[in-house]
This record gives sequence, structure tokens and C-alpha cells, in this order.
Amino acid sequence: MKKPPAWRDPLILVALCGLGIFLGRQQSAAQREGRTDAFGSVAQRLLSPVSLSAGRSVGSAGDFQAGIGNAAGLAAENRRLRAELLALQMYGQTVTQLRDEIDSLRSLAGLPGYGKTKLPAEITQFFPYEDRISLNVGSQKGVRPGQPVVAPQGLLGIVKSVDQNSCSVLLLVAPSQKLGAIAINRNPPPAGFMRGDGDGGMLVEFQDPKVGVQTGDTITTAGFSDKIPRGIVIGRVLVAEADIEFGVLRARVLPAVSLGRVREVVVLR
Amino acid sequence: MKVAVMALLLYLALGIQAALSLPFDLPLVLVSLASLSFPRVGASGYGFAAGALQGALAGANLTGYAISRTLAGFLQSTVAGLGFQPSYVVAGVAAAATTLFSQIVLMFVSPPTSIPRFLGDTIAMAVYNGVIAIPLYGLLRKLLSPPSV
Repeated sequence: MKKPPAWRDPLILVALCGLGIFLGRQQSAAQREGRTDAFGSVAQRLLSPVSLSAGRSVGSAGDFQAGIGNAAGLAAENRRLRAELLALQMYGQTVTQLRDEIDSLRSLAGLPGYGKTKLPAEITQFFPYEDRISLNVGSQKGVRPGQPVVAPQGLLGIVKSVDQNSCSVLLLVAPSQKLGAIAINRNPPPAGFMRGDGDGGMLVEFQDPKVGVQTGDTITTAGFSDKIPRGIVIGRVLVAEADIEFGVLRARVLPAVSLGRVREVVVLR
Repeated sequence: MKVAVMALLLYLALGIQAALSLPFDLPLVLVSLASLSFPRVGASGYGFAAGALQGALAGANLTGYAISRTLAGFLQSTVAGLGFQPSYVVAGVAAAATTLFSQIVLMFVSPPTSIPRFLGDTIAMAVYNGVIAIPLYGLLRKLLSPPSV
């Protein structure tokens, strides 16, 4: 067989990298317009059946990681549950799963609407390194970029780009996420700007070092935007430090929502 | 046959990776084992497919993922062509090294907010990928080797 010329492999490599740059630019341009690019849309549709099945069968990402950390304890518990399962017959596990789902859905149904329409959705994909998730609702159900995504515990993220039947959500802990926030416990509630700290938490900066925000205070959305109503819980202050030199008070905030425990959410339209 | 098996595995790996917040990167492990099935160009193409789809699914950093995985596939298959005998240990080491290389390329193409955090995550991921590659290599060897008569 004829040997391919030496320049062929590097040329193909460069062409593939060029194609990658082109697709990346398409993706960024589409995101600036609040939509999903064509390639991303095809990838989502192609892979969502596997993601959904895998996600549902395991339960949740948090359970998986907790399982790795507590394998011995879970193995013992598993043996005990297996014995109980025999006693309860085959449908026992299904009953427990359904009860958990009902509890979760009840909490979602009980969520206040904050004057918006609640659209229930399911998390279909997790991207922890990108601080993003995907939901199974899109423009067909009225989802638009900028709408808040809420779990029973509080605000989870903001819709970033929308496809016909899915949307991508940027989590609150993402460093590029910026949001108006208030410390609701204080009277009057001081307002500041919140952003992700890139380390799984958030920072809220108040433009007055004497606002008196303290550890344990609840931080909620400020309602500065039409799309994000006031009063949705963001998290609790872990530590607050006044910076007199810059005239600000910086509060490190622990998110109210733990992503690993959430599967069903609500988009506020 | 080999191409179909690798494509199916990549499809499953991408779906599972997106559904579960895993500490390892299954598509990248597959890229590190691509030289078992593909020549150099094929391994680069496989890396490109894995990276582009992963970036598209994540909704960010498509360029970074595509370039880093393409280069990883190319480099990995080039090194494999130097005459290393494939084995469980080689597969584990190759997966860890490919992960480190690929993530460092990603760091330069799409700089993260916190480089120390990213490097810490990368080292942990390389270890996990190295471990995961060992059983995956065994599985691939079974799936891809011709049946003995």
C-alpha cells in the first residue's frame, strides 16, 4: 500500500483545529444572541437520550460523589436494605423512589411564583467544570435568556441560551455570573452585587462598609431586573469583611442550593 | 467494526459524562485509548469529535475542548507509534499523561478563572482517568481483538 505523504497528518491536524475554532466562534456568537448554535443543538438532541437514562438510573450527581466518599458505609447499608427489600418485595424500591419524587415535586409546587409563571423542568445534563446545567425545556415553552431557575431551597442559576426544547443555565457560582442581591435580614435591606467566586461559593459586594451585614444573614435577589424578581433566596453569609480603604463590605456567601441534591427545578417566566 | 465500537463507546461516554457529575473524564480516557483502534489521523479525528461534542454539550469552551482533545489524540497516537507494547499499566499511564497534556492545552486556549484550582482538578482528574483507563483498556481489548480460532 502506498505510504501517505509526510505533510498529510499535520495538515489534517491543523484543519481540525481550524474547524474547532470556527465552531467555537459560532457557539460564542449564538450565545451572545441568547440562543444555542446549530452544532450544539444537534449534539444536545443526539446525546440527551443517553444523558436522561443515565441520570435517572443513578439518581443524581451528588449521590454518586457521596457514594464514592462513603463506599464502606453504603455497602453495609446496601446489605441491610437488600434484606428489607426482600421483605418488602420487588416494588418497595419503586415506592421509595416515587415518594422522594412526590416530596420534591410538592416542594416545587409550594414555591412562591414571585409574580411570574412557574414552568417545571428537569435537569438533564451537568457540566461542573463549566458551572452549567441543561434543562429539558426551551423556547417552545416560553423559556428566554435571563430567566431565573429556582429549586425548592432557592435560586440555582440564570438561563443563558435557549434551544427549541432545551436550555443552558449558568449557575450562580460561575465567576461570570453577576446579579443584584440584598441582605434581607437588615432594615432597610442593603443592596450589592453578587458574583461567583470560582471556588463553589459567591461574593456579594456592598458599596458601604457600615451596612452591618453579618455571618448567617440571608442573601436574596434584589429585583433590579424585570426578569428576576426580588426575594429569591441566594444563600447565607459565611463571612463578611469591611474594606474601609475601598469603601465596600465583601460577604462570602454559601449557596442555598446544593446542585447534587437537585433534579427537578422551576423556571420563572 | 473497530470504528463502530469506538463511536458507540464515545456516544455512551459523552451521554454519561453529561448526566453525572463524574470526577473523571470518560471521553478523554477513550481518546487516550484511541490508538488501539485508529492510526494517527484517526486518533486526531476521534479526539476532535470527542472535544467538539463535549464543548458543544457544555455550551462553552468548544474551541478549547476541540483543540485540546485533537492534539491529545494526535500526540497520544504518535507516542504509541514509537513502539510501546500496549498493556494495562501503559494504558493507565497513557490516560493520565494524555489528561495532563490535554487539560494544560485547554488552560492555555481557554484560561480558567482560578489557575491553581484548575491545576488541582486536573491532577485529580489525571489520577482518576489513569485508574478508569485500566478496566476500560481490558474491555476494549476484548471488544476489538479478533476472535481466536
